[in-house]
Amino acid sequence: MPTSASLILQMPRGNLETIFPRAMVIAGIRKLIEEKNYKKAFTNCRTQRVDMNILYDHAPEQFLSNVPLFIDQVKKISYIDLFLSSLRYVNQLPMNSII
Amino acid sequence: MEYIFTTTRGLTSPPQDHGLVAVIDGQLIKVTPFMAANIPPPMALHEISVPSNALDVVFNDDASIAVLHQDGISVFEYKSPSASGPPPAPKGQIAFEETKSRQNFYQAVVFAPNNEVLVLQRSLSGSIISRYGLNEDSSIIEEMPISSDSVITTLSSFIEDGVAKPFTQNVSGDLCSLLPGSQSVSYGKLTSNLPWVEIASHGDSPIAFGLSASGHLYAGSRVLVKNCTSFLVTPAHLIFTTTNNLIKFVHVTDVNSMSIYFSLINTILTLRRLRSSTGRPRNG
Repeated sequence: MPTSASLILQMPRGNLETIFPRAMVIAGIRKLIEEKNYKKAFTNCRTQRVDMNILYDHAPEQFLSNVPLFIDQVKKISYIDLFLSSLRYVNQLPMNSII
Repeated sequence: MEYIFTTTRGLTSPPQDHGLVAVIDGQLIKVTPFMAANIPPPMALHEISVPSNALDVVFNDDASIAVLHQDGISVFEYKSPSASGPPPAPKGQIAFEETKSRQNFYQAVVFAPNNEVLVLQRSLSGSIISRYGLNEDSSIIEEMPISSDSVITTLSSFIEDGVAKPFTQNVSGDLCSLLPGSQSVSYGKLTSNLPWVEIASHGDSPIAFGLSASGHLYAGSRVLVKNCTSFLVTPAHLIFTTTNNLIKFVHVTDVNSMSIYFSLINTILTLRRLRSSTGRPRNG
């Protein structure tokens, strides 16, 4: 289910397991960023322990021209602080990850 | 004749990805929208009953349900699946005529555009596809006998641009469209007849995915892996499980350039969360 980034598996015994695969989570966050839904993208980054740099890195120009929107959506100061403190400058991406 | 396990699922594309699954239990269909309620088998959120033993059940893109049973077809509408919402409500019934030869047997049902359903039937002389209308009189619109040298093994459909597109697979693996007026449109040919087939719309041309009983997963005629146990398609990925308990994700691009990335999750023992992977693009 892409909306919740979850995948349900059935084990050989018949019981169900729900997982949140990284691939689906990242794909979901990218989509939310493209829709400019920074609030939901940020929330997903928090709950799924995804590096928040993706909020900028996935669409740098869009982020820079929508900083007021980002702040309006995220609202809570502690969340904004969390985002700012996680920002990192990396010269070159260590791994090519289109997941 | 071969029997396979198959899962009746609703759409996997947002916003209609309610995680709908239907299970047949005699004259009962057990329906659960997993997005709203995580109810493990053998229980379900809703149970709907039909007049005789069910043979096939399918979902439409609006979550409505068609059940093919021995005596006819029952259609239910299921508005906004939720944990506390109303169950699927009966919307219409089609009763098969008593005069039908008992040597014919019904195999599958799918939704078609314009409020219709298609039914696959096997007779002594080959396969028959019938169209039924879901309006007031619910009568047979047309019976389309298919030529007897191509027995149809699969009747299914996929959604493209919001329109249901039914298709068939015959014993040789040919995939043909069943839209009125486009019977000659082919969705490709699989290397051989595959028990599990799904078509995903992608760009200009839809891609057909299929799984053989021996575990070979095909995209068109290209083998992707040889140890696949199940698969499904979402708008972003082809997701499949393998015999060594791995789940793999493939970006759906055109058939010739699909590449496979790993997501290592051991599904039987523990779920290890990957802490540091992100999607940061290259600078410059």
